[in-house]
Amino acid sequence: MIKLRYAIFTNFRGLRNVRIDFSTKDDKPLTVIRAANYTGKTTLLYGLTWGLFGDAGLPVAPRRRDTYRLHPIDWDVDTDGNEVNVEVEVGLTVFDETTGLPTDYNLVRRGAEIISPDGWRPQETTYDLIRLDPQGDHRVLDPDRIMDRVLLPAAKKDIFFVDGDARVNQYFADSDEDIRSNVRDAVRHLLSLDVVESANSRMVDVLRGINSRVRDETVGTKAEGVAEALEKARARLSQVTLEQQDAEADHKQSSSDMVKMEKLRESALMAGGDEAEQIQKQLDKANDRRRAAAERIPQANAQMRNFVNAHELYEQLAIASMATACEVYETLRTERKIPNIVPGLIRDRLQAQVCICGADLSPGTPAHEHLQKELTEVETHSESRSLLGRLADSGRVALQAGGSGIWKIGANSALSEWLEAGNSIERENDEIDRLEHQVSKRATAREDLKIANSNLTRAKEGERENRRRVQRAGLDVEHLTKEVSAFETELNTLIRKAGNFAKLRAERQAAEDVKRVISASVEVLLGDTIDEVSCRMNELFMRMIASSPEPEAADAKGVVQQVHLTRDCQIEAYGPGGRKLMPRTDLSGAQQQSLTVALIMSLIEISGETSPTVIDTPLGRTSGPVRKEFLAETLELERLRARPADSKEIVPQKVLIMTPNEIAGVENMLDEAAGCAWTLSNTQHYPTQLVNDPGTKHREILACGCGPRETDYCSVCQRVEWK
Amino acid sequence: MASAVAWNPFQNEPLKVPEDYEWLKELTKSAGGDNQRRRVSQDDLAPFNRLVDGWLLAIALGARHHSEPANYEAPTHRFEYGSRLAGNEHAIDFLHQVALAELLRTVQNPEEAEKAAYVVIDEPARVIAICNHLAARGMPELRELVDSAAQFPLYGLLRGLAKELEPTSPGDPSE
Repeated sequence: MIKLRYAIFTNFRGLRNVRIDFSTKDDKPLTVIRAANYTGKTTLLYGLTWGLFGDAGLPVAPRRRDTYRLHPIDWDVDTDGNEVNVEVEVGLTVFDETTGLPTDYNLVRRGAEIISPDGWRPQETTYDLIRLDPQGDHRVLDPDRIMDRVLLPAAKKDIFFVDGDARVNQYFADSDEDIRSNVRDAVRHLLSLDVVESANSRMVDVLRGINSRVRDETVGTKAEGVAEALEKARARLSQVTLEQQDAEADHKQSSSDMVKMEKLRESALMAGGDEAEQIQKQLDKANDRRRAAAERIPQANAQMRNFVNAHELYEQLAIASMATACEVYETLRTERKIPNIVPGLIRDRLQAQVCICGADLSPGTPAHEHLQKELTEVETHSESRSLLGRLADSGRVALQAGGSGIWKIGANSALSEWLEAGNSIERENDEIDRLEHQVSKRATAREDLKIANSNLTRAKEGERENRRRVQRAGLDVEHLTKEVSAFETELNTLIRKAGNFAKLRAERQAAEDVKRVISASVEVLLGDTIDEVSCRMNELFMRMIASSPEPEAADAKGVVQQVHLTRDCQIEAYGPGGRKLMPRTDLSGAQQQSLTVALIMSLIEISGETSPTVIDTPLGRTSGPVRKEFLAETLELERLRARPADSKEIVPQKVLIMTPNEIAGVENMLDEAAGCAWTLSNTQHYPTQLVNDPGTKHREILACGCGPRETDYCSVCQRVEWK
Repeated sequence: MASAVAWNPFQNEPLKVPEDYEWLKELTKSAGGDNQRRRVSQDDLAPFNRLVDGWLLAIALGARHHSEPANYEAPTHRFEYGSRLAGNEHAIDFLHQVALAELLRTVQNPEEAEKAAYVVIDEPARVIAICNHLAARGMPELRELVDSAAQFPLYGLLRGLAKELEPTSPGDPSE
């Protein structure tokens, strides 16, 4: 049995420099890590599994290691160099199985990554195991031997190190075939069936050897050719089967990625990402309105300048002077010293011989004579008198215009337009400030939504491509299987006919019998264990459902009478009268999560292992009472309470990585079981979610010893909603 | 009779303002000078296109009041010649009319009034001298109006002028 003492993460994705100490107390075996969404919960989980299991602990197959980056995303090559040394150090205490005596080890896992303009590439992952003795520390020379003995088999790690959300997706969101495969894998890992299956594989090798001997014995015969063709077909089948397994593993991974991305997108939408888009649109409109108002200002200025420089203004300001001057001009006009008839008009009328009033202006008429006299008089005036006439006319027009007040109306309108445009700009500025504040408050959610959308698109493409690969590989396997079968039949016929190979046939028959026995044993073992898991899962799930106060859950209580894991690894639910329900559609999200938790807990319990359990986001969608039931079961609170103070019993550690929402309502239970508490904060969340400037230029996760209550916070982790 | 457009009897007459007229330059679009020192940093906000426009407005304000203000300064600086008025027939007529009104202040009878009307059209130098004097008289008030909205001189000036022409303002015949 082992216990985790601490873990130090260096340059592991967002965990640039984080240390977490785990509770090693047997009366308080829980370490609770509080972390909001996007605050490194899953990174911490994978950091720990990588530290313990190496590349097998990452969420991608080891051969696809180059698709999973370990170094921080904002690593600055210019200042920090292009080689990133990633390291996770885990402090372990190993208890001797017979004496129970503890020995401390430090496991240091290293894996450099080289960044280049084209991307990055991983270097080999290595590790050291240091034994801490009272006499001094020793580097263990054959660390694999120790690790194989004390550590959980890598295959079982998925049972004890759980990404809660991903697991719900694996059991409920994938296709039926994927769900069966996921559950089957979990049970296979639980039973360590890999060993048995490798024995099966060894039997295939034995068979191949026998066939080879058959080929040797029949040189020159037809059987030689058939045996050779058979081996080739088998080799190809073996290769294609591997390819199919790879494709299936990749497809499984990409399906899971896709569902996870959809969930992240949903979270980002719920966190206000969509709202931020709407506010941004409003902001754009306000900016347009401000621009339009700003464009009115130069026009208003030009209009105001026209009124300042208008001759009507001078004339009106000096209207008293104008009136005085015009009085003199009018007197002069009255005295006929200024002409008041326009000569051109008189000439025109005299020529037309008709007045504008229609009167006859023929030569010799009195009217003609009168106008002719007037014209002569006008034409004999001096230039000076003409100028006086012009001044008199323009003065009269100016006085009339001044009386109409047109300038005042126009000037006041120009002033109003200028003020209105200015006020519009002010109003829009206020609106823009307000909206910008709102956008900034939702900046993280908006950014998250963008990233989530882009990731989802990529994940969907990956899933499509992998699905095609699976289909292609499936067809190849089917074809080659038929081919192998045909060759086997033909070869057996030939061997039988030859009669010389009776012994070989017997050996071959024996090998095939052993192979069949192994396969049958695996099926039996699987079947029995699945039944056991199914039984316990049903018990736990029904207890959780019964504790939920939600109306939906209450309905479910009436509807769901039993859940069952079939031997072909299908999760089934049954209603009254044994009516079969569809868990994926008939159960709510919270119920699916409860069922997932029940399955995980059953697997852990039935495995009989005492390894530390680390669960990330176990209860995201569940209600308070369900969370309480889960914690009571997981933490074995009754057992802890009844534990004598002097008990020497070693209690397995639990590490729960929970969001503040998951913690709400179960703080007392956590207090009771937790010997250690931590809070993670993401520096990117300042100032939208964090109150204080974390004082680092990097995007990174910081850890402090606060939590789990809302009232427990420091200047690093204080969140806006806790103000 | 000369054509109205071409008629500018003030072609060679010096247009003058008080020595301290930098502030007026700062309010024009094209008065030159150091832009950095201009109160109106953008042409768009300048109340006047040219200095002569400010001079004309000052004449109108000077004609509105019958005596020199306390801070009156004599017009000693020639900033331009009357050729600037070419084409602005309203301004040319206006100068004649306000000059006549000023001359009429001192006449005693209709004969002298008629004589004054002819003096105005026959002696352009005298008209401009009278107008330069009126401009100097109106300058302090013009400056005050502009200063009433230091940030926005164009707006301040137009607002002040509109207020000046409200029915209760002095000098309005409708009062």
